Amino acid sequence: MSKSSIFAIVAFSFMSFFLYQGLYNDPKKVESPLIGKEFPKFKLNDLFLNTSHDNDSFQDRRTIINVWASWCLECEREHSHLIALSNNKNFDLVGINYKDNADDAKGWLNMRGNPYRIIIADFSGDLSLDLGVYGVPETYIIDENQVILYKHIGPINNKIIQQEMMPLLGMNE
Amino acid sequence: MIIEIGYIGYFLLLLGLMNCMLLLTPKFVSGLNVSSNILLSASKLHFPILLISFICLIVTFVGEDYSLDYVAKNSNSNLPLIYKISAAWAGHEGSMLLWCVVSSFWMFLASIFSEDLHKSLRINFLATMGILNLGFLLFVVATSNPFDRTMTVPIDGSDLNPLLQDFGLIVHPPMLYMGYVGLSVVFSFAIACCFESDFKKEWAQWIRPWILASWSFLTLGIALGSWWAYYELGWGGWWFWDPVENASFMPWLMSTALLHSVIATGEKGMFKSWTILLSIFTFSLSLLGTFLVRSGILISVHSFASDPTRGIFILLMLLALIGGGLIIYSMNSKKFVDDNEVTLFSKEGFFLLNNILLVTATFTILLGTMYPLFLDVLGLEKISVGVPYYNAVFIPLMIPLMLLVGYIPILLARSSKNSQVIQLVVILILSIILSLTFSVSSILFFIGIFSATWIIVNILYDVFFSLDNKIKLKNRTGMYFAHFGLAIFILGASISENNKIEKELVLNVGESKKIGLFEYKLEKLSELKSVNYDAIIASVLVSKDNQFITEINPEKRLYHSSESPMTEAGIHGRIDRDLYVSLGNMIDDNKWSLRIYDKPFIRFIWIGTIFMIIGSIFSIRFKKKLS
Amino acid sequence: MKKIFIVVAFLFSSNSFSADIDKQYKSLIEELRCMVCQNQNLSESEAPLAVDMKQKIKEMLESGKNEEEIKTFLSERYSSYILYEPPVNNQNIILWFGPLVFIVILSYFLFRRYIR
Repeated sequence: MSKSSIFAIVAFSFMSFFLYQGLYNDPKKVESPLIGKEFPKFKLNDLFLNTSHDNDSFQDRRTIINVWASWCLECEREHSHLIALSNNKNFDLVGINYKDNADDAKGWLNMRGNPYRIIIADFSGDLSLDLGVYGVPETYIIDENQVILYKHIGPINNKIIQQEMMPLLGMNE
Repeated sequence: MIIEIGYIGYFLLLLGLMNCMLLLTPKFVSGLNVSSNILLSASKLHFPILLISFICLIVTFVGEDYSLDYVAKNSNSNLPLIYKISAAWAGHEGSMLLWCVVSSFWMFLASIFSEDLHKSLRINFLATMGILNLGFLLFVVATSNPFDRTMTVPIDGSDLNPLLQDFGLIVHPPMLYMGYVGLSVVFSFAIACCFESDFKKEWAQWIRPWILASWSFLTLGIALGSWWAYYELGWGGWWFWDPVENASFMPWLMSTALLHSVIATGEKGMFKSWTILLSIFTFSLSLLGTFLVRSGILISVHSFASDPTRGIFILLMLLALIGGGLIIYSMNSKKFVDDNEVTLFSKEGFFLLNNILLVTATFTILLGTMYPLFLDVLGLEKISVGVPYYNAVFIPLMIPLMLLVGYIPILLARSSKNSQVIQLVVILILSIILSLTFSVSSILFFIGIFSATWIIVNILYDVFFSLDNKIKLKNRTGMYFAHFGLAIFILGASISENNKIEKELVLNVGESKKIGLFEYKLEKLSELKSVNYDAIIASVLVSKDNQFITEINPEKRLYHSSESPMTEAGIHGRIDRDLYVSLGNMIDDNKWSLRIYDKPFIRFIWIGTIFMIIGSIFSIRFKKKLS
Repeated sequence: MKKIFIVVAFLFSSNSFSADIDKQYKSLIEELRCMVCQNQNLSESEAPLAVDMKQKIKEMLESGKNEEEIKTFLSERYSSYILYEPPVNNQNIILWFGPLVFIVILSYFLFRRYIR
C-alpha cells in the first residue's frame, strides 16, 4: 500500500471517529463565555417592593440566580424544584424576572409560591442581554465574589441539581 | 383491505432483501462462471419488487391508513390528494425507501445497458451495486421502516408540514436522489475496474454518459431546491450555505470535476487512477451527505427528526463502503498506467487545473460544514460557520476557474500562436467594454460580470468562426451550452445581489409607497378559508410612472394543524426582474408591515442551470467519434 | 441665511448618516445568528429574542458604535457561536488556512504524478 493510501485511510478513520462522537453531542448546547467572569453591573427595581437593586444586593455567598417569566411554559416545570431549593439556607436564591409584566409576574408567583429572597425586575431585558440569556428559564450560580461559576439553559431537575449544582453550592452529599 | 396493503409493502421489502442476497451468492459462493445468470436476473428483478412496495406505501397514504406510524405522522384526511401522494417521500422513512427504489432503478438500467461490457467487469460492477442496494434496504428495514404500525391508531393524521405542501416537494427530492444514486453506479464501476488488470480507455467512454446523467439530475435537483427556497421561505434568498445544501453541493462539485477528467481518460487514456479515485470520493460524499442530514449531527432548517441509531447505521455503511473502496483502490491503483503524458498548457492540463480548483472547493465546504462539529467533540469553543466564511473562501477559488472556462476555445483553436494572441486580445477588450456598460460599483461585481462576458464572448467568437466546421460544432455543442449556462448563472447571481433593493415598510390599506422604480399600493385585504388552512391575502398593486403593471398577492396562512403562521410570498417574475412581496406582521386591522424585494435578473440563476443541463444532454447524445 | 444653511446641511448629513446606519444594520443582522432558531440569521428570524436583539443593535448603531464593537459586545455575551463569520484565532487557524494548504498539497501530488 502506498503512502498516500495510508494517509487517506488514517484521515478517513479520524473523520469517522469525529462523526461517531458527534452523534452523541447536542449541537444546540452552547457554553457561556461568561463562566469565570464577574456578574454584570446592573441597577434595577425589585418586582414587588419599591426598592432598587444593584450588585451590592448579593450576599457574598454562593447564590443561585434563576431567570424566569410568567409567559414561559418551561418555568412551570422547574418551579417545584426552586421551592425545594429555597428551603436550603446554605445558599442564596435570587430571581430575575425577564421581559414580563409586573402584574402577570406577581400573579404567577402568588399562585405558585415565591422561592426567591429578592426578585430583580428586568422588564427591558438589558441585564439578561448582558448575561447572554436566550432560552428562558436559565439558572446561574455565582460564588462569594460574584464570579459566575455555572449556567444551565432550560428547566432544572433533580439530576441536574444533584450532579451539577450541589457540588458548586458547597454541598457535597 | 387497506391494512393488507401495508403488510404487502413490508413483505416486498423483505423479498427485496432476499433478492439482493441471491444476487450476491454467485459472486461470493461459487465464483465467476456458474450462475452469473442469477446475478443478472436478480439485478433486474430488484426494481419491480421495490417499486411495487413503494406504490403500496402511496396507496396507504391515499387510503388514509393511519395504523401506519409514518402515514399518521405525515398525512391528514383534509390533505389535498396530490400531497397525500407526495407525502410518501416527505419524511425520513419514506424518502429512504424512495432512495432504495431509485437505487434499484439505476441497477436495473445498469444491468440492461451493460451487455456488451467485458464479462468479469460487468459481474463485479453489478455485484458492487448489489452490495449497495442490500445495504440501503437493510438500513430501511432495520431502522427506518415506513410500514411500522402505531401503538394506537389515531382518528386522523398529524398532517404534512405546511412548508412541504408545495410543488417543490413533489419534484425536488426525486430529482436529487436520481443524481446521488446515479453516482453509486459510477462508484460501482470504478470499484469493478480495480479488479481488472488494466483500465481500458473504452471503459471510461462507457461510464461517461452515466456520469453526465447523474450530474444532470443533481444539477436539476439542486436548482429546484434553490428555486423552492426562493419562493417559499419569504426572504428572497436562494442559497444559504446551510449544511444540508452543502451536502448536495459537494457531490455536485466533485462530479463536475469527474465529468471533465473522464473526458481525458476516455479520449487519451490519461488520469486513469485519478478518475477512479474521484469516482469513489464523489459517491462517498453523497453518502456522507445522507449521513449528515439524517443523523441529527448538524443543525439545519432542513433536518429530519434525528435518531442516533440511524446515525450509527449510516456511519457503519459509510465506513464499510468508503473504507472498503479506498482499500480496494489503494491495492490496485499501481496497475493503472496512463497511455499518454500530460502537458499543462493543453485541454487535459486545463482539466487538471479544473479538478484541483473544484476538489479544493469541495474540501473547503466540507471543512466549513464539519468544523463546528470538530471543535465541539474536542471540547473547544463552539462556533458558527456561515455565509461570510463560505463567500470568502469559495469565490476566490471560482474566479480562476471562470477565467479558465472562458479561455478554453482559444486553447482549442488550431491556429497559429499569433492568431491565438489576437483572439485573446480582441475578446479581452470586448469583455471589458461590455462589463463596463453594467455600471459596476464594486470590484467583486466587476469580476462577476467580466467572468460571464469573458466566457460568453469566447464562445460566440468560436461559434462564429467555426460555422463551416459542422463536426467541430457538433462535438462542442454540449460544452458551449453548459459553459454558456454557467455564465448566465454568474450574471444572475452577480446582478441580483449587487442591484437588489430590499425594504421593509408599513402600509395602511389604500396607502402606497415608491421603492426603486415602482410604486406599491396596499389595495385591500381579503380572507380565504381553504381545505386545511385559513389565509389572509393582500392585494398589492404595482405601478411604474402611474402605469399599472400588475397585482401581487402575498398571503399569511394558518394551517389547521400548525400553531405558527406561514408566509406565502407574492412574486411578479420576469426574465429581467422579480418583484417579490412578503407579508410581515399585522399592526392593526388595516395596517400591515411588508417586505419588498426588487431583484433584477434573478431568474438568470435558474435559467443558467437549465442551459447547463441542456449542454449535458447534448454531450450524452453527440458522442465524439474516437479512433 | 447662515442658520438655514446649517439646518439644511445638518438635515442632509443626518440623512446620509441614517442611510449609512441602515446599510450597517442590514449587514450586521445578516452576519449574526439567531440563538433560538435552526440555523437562521437575525434578518430571517421573527423570534422574540431576535427581534429584541435587532432593536438593541439599532440602538447601539445610533449611539455611535461601529460594526466591530457591536459584534464584540454580542460575542462576549453569547460566545462566538453568534457570529456567522468565525473569528480568526488559534482555534480556527485550520479553518481559515486549511483550503490554502490543501490546494498546495493537492497540486503538488497531481503535478508530480501527471505533468511532464
